[in-house]
Amino acid sequence: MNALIQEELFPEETLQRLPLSYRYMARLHSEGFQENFSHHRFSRSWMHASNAYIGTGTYKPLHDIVLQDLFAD
Amino acid sequence: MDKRLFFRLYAHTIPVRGRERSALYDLQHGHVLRIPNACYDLIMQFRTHPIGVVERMQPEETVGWVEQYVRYLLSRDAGFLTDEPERFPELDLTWQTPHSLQTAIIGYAFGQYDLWLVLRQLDRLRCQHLELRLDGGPEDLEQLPEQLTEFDDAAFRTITLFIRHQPLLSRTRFVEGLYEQCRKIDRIVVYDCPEDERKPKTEHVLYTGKSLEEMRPQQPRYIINLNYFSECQRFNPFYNRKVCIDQRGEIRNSLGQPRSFGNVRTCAIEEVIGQPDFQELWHVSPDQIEDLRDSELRYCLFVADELEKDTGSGLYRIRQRTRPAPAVPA
Repeated sequence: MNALIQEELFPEETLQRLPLSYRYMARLHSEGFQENFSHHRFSRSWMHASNAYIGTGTYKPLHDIVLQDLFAD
Repeated sequence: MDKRLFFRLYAHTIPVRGRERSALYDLQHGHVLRIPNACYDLIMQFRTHPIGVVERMQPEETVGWVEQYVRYLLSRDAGFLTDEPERFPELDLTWQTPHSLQTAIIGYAFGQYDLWLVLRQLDRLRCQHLELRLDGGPEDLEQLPEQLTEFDDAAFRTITLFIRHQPLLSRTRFVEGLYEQCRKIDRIVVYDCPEDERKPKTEHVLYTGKSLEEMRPQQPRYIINLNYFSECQRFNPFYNRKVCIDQRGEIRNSLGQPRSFGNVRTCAIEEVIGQPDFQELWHVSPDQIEDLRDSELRYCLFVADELEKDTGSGLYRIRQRTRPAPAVPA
């Protein structure tokens, strides 16, 4: 998901005017970053005064059925 | 190997001793390494002594084990060597939540009680996750999208739906439309669905021929993560901060449990969940369950069965749920 995309981001003539570290810059697919929450669903919550209330699941099954297993089968 | 160094486990790798074997829980990567109790004892000694001192503490016949175990643990990436052990404190395993209710499981067959009044109560209690197990006719289900969207700005983070199959569900885009319309819905499972009516599974919608009972895990299920592990230290991860309401409106700790603490038609949920009796099972950690307390896997084993108290020992026992016999083909 976070595989590096091997490409030259800047042409050589630009790199010559930039600090050395620019030669090591790489591009990643942003959808792979958890921090972007791009795979999450958002709703609203009046009580939390939020219009971007993230719909995260739990770290354990809600009850006696493990949904992750059902959807993984 | 420099014997003046200390061996430390990574903070996310936590040793647990069982009666016959021990285990190292890697809470970051989600796996468990089972080790002999002798290895566990050495790990305890490594906490305060360098490797060389631990070696000198062993009886002559087991001195060689120390280096072998250190090499083994290093090869499994369970820990590291350091001369500054005090710089690597242990993880804080205190489990805390601001919510008085984490999950609510509701069985509803349309008509025995007012589901929407119940949901409003749960919303006021800031319940985080809601699971609805619905069993209704097509005319009941048709009202569902409108009623659920009334909770679009409720405190629930997710709503999971289990809906018993009706022809309406597979012959139209009803289920898919419901998912798109209600932003709180996380997943929808249509159960008891005949094979020729099943649609392909998507990331959020599943049509299955299984019943609710058949969907329960048939094999031991392990859940390995930091939250689950830390909750297990003081609470029962299955019962803790959960309320279940069955199709008749009876309020229980679990849908399978016979004891009812009141009915939603006559009792407020807030009052019921505040009762010490109702909260008793919340505090039954795996260490208080006779069948689990000696197991090294007690902090990751998912147990959804009923618990009963042994008045003699004060401990709890798992009462296995009687599963219906599998159908025999004619």
